[in-house]
Amino acid sequence: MSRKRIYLDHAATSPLRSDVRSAWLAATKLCGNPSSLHREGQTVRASLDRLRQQVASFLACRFQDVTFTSGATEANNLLISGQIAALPASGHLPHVVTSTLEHPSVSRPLRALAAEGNIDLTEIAPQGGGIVAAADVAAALRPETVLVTVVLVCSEFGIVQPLGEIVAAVTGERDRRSKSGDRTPLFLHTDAVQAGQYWNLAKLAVDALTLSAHKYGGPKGVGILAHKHGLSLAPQLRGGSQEQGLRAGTEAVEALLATAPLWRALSDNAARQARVEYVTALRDSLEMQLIQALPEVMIIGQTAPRAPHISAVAFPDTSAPVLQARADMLGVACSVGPACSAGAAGISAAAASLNLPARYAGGLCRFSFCEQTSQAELDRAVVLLVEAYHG
Amino acid sequence: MAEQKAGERVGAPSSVRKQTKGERVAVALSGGVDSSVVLAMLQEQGYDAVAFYMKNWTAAIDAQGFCPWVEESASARTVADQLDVPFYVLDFEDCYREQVTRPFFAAYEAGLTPNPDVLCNQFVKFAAFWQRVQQYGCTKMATGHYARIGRYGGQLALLKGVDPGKDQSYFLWAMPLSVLSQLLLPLGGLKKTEVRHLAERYGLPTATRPDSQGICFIGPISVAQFLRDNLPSHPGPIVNEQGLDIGRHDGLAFATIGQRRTVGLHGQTEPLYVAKKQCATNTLTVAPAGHPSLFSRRFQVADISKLTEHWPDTADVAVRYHAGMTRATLAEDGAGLTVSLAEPVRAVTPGQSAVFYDGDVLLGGGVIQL
Repeated sequence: MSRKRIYLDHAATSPLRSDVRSAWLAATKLCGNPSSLHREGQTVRASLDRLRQQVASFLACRFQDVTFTSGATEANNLLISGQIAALPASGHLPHVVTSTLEHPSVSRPLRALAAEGNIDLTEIAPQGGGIVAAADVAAALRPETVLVTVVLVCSEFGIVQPLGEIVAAVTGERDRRSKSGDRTPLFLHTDAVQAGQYWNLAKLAVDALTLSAHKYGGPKGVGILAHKHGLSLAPQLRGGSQEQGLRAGTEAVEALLATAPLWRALSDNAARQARVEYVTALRDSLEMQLIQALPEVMIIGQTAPRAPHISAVAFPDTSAPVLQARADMLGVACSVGPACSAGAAGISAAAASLNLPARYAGGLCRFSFCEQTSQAELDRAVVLLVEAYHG
Repeated sequence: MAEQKAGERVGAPSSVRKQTKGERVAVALSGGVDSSVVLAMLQEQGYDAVAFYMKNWTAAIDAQGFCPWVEESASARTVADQLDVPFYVLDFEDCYREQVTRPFFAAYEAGLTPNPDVLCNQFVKFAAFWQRVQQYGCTKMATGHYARIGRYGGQLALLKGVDPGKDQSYFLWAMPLSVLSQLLLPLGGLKKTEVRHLAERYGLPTATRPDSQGICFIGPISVAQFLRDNLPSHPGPIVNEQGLDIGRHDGLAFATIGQRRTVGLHGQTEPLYVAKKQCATNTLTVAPAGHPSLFSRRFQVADISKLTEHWPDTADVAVRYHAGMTRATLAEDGAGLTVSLAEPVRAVTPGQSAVFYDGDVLLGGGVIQL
């Protein structure tokens, strides 16, 4: 462990930013419970309100549209289970459309609701190239469809899904309903966890989206569900009336307030553009060097629109967990599939949908970067990865 | 005499040599004290130690949903983290189910008393695991077994552990011979008390952990209870040594050879013991203590594994773990091996392992036949 380790797993979590650490420490000096009516409570409540306003500005939504949760998983569960539970009784089984590329915190609650007979679920597999076709989403819509949820950036491959076109499809269906007097609600949600640092999310015309602070240098334990007014949710944690009654429990004040510098940084359009360019160049450099050293490797989604910070590489005739462990022992941290399913055996639904040739199917590794990753680290990582591959 | 001769052939346990330093060794870390000490010892000796937890069985083992692997793997991870050693969980569930659990149930249903630890060592730990860890660049593997590696007739051989109360060589008779040259068994020369002291000296969090008991998929509950929970009852008659029907049993799988049986019929007051399980008629034969049917002088062994090139005509045999040694004459024929004991041994149990020794040297073994 003498040599400095090279961390290429920022899609799993990214190190805490120093301004976030400072904000955390400042927050630890506050003592009030934000629900308390005394001055101490008011002070903390006011700080949380300022934070909520800041997030609302970042996402171009309203103050009351922002719900703080314990993470993206809770946010996704609240959106999905909360919406279905809050639906007014109707004669039809509610229908939900999603993709096979979703994070388990989306796919598993949906499958559970379907298994329990509470929804009818359509899971759309991507077309070749790992992209869910908007036309497939449009074709799946039915009069009783109440929710469409499609990930913005697939966490395993970094492939960007055509949310703009899906927005159009959903808007079309909504228009059809309003013309025919059908008042069945239809909402579009996206899990934007992997997009937070690289997208101008204010411009995304979805009804609800999910973010997670620790993917961008924030602390673990902070998720955000932004949900447009009119999207009724039933609380999934019952108790006190925190978060407008949507999420009971004393707020994780220190962790939440620590994120204030983060949303400020992510709102800076010029900085975002520079970040996109720098990290994209890193990704392309890694892939180019890997192909030069190991001409048989396959870059997943190379021709598809991709997020700057994720590179999914299929290595032939090897086992990804073995390659990952060998790289780990050489000092390079990378990932086999998303961290949330690490330890699970076999090939993921998303990986399966790529129809990789058999000799590549078991050798899928993910490398992910941030703007603190240096070119020198990346160059060294390639050397070590090649060494790990050759064993 | 034979033991003295064996002693001459036995070399000193292999010691770690300078040139092995830096060599990558896979340590099968179970979360217990023994393998933790192995990891710390090898690290101290300069090996590039990598820890692996073998995930063999993850289902709950009781009605309360107790899953031992959750705590065991966490304990293993804690140890590896404290020693700053890479740690990976390897999944052998399919292999374990096919090679250990399924044969375990099948054997019980066939009236045998199988030895799953032997199967685990034969097919999982010293086979599938060893194959797998070589992909991680490991050129040696180490386990926390109380057994030693030495020499017999000039060849590498497995020897009993020096702690007579902990010697685990009995369970290793079926392991593939080819592993021996890459295997490290650092605990074989130590007593359990010394291992506990080492754990304390290394400051390992497992120093005070109780010894793991039993079988992965059974855990601390009794095998009898486990079988009752997992196999259907299959009632049948209990007969005495004259063939007289004296009671009912609820399944041959739940009876163990040599075990005391309470039989409620015919005013039977004398303690009776299981002498025989007859699957064809689903009959359990019992006999009073000391009855000749409870003792064997001769039995057949199959599925023989030889860990030494040379087998003497006579050897010491152990018919179960921690049973004493009995001198025996070994006669091989086409079907297997006939073991003729120098004195009668009680409760020789079909399905268990008969393990042969020349002094401290593990010659090999086989499965006792019906």
